[in-house]
Amino acid sequence: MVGNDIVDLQLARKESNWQRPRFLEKIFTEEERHFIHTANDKDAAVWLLWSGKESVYKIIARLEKRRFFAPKKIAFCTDDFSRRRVDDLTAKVVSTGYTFSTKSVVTDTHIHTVAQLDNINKKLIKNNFYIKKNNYPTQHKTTRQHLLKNYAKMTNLAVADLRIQKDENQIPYLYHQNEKQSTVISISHHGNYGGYAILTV
Amino acid sequence: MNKTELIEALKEIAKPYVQDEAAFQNLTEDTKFIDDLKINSANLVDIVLDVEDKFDILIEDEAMENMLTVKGAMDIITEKIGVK
Repeated sequence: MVGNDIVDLQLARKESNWQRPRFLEKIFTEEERHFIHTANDKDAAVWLLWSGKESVYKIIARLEKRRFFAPKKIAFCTDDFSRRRVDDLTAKVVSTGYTFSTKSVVTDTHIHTVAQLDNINKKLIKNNFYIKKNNYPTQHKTTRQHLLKNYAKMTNLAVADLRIQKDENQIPYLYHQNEKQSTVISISHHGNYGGYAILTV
Repeated sequence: MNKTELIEALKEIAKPYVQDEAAFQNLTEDTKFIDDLKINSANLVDIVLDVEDKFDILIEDEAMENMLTVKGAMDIITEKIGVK
């Protein structure tokens, strides 16, 4: 299982004021808040952990076929914080016992995180890219095009035969000639950045 | 505050974060903040905080789980303050 999330850091600074009273308390555990407050780049630390929680959440929503908003239920392991391996973290969902690994690409402009669960014997392809026009329809279309193009190249299938469709829980699935594929895909876009992850057997 | 006023109040709160104007114009109880209004999930936290400030209530983590729709938000507020 795989989930991904991308944050356009410039847009995040504009859209969200994480220094707003109670903002961090709603999302992060005490340990996570400590990690943020002691980080050199607090802004990047907030969005690193946020993108981790979002990418993990996408896996849980897929597995449990339900939507919810409970960022604190997904908690990062504090051991990783002391090692300061910010791009390679472990997150747990205490109530279910699931353990996820999240790997992030952190740049000055964006953070792309991919979370995985039970990734044995599976091939992961992940990618993130710049989207020139950052309106919502363009982000949406461009991100899907990038994924489908790459998948077509990987599998030697025709792009025209491939499409992405979301189910009633907004979980995306890949279709080839109207046949649902077992390949797991995750899509994300924010501002001028898009990203995806593909997990094939 | 009655139901219509409550929806109006929530509409006012959601407005700055909306990325789909058409869906916003047609907002109903069933409207989903993220899926329909295309609100960034991080801004859902702002909506929770704005609701807390506006109605002077505290939304616990468990209640917050259901804040994905206008109806979900209405139920939480109703339970806290009582709406006719």
